[in-house]
Amino acid sequence: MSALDDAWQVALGAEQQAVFGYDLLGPRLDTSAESDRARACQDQHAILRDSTSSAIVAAGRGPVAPAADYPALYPVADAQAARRLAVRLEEDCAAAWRYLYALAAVQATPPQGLRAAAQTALTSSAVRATRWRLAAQPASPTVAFPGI
Amino acid sequence: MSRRGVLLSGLAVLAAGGGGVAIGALQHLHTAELPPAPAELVAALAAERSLIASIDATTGGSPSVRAALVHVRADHAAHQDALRAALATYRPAASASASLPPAAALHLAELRAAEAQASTRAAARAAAITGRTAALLASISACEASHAELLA
Repeated sequence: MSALDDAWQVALGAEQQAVFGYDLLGPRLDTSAESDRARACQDQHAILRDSTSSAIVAAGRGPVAPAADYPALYPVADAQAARRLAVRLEEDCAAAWRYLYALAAVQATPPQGLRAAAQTALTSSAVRATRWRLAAQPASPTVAFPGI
Repeated sequence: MSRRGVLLSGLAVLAAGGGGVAIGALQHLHTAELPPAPAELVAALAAERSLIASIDATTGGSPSVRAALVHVRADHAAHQDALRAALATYRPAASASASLPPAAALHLAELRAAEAQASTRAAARAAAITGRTAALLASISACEASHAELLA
């Protein structure tokens, strides 16, 4: 399996973790607006997880299965911890997609559409992370290089 | 002239106070050997400079908007530094250091639109090139989309 294949699976794994993580943090949020946002984020990650899995299958590879549990995401004690976890989930996804983009960018013939998909996913996670940072750590709402 | 003679002549130039000229000539030879800078990188640097100039020209706004602009400007300055570092491995492009026309102050909605447009253009530039700098432009594109979100 190539480094690009590995990175693709890591991106899928990050999306699987995000779907799980929003289930974990959602009940800790203390406003309906944030709960709604968490559900919307989870839906977006679920769509991306499924499309990524399908793309990996279409490329002739077998997608990794999600983990049964993600112990590294615990504990989520309160609403602030939930917001911080949401930032972390988005940053993990951004890092995975940026790395996949970087590997695809040095390939002579990467799978068709992979770079565009990675760019879209990286950008979406950066935007979602900014929304959560505004609530969790408003003093530093953006990062200059998402995914790095 | 023999090789020894060439070396001695070179030393004589240095000893005669022509060191600066000689070093300049060597630097010229060095940069002439470098590959030309990709147009996408040069354009990306110009875009960052233009955005910084627009932010600097924009005064007023609520304290929260001013605080947001401080973050946005700092991110663009970091992009500018990274792009300059990336361009340092190429032959210098004259347009990369050309002075910019004075920037006009923008309203918040205009700045937001400029960030969104910059994100789209950075993604297109990233897609047009290969290699490590493509991922840098991809990340810059994502950051600028987050700026548009921040200024919403």
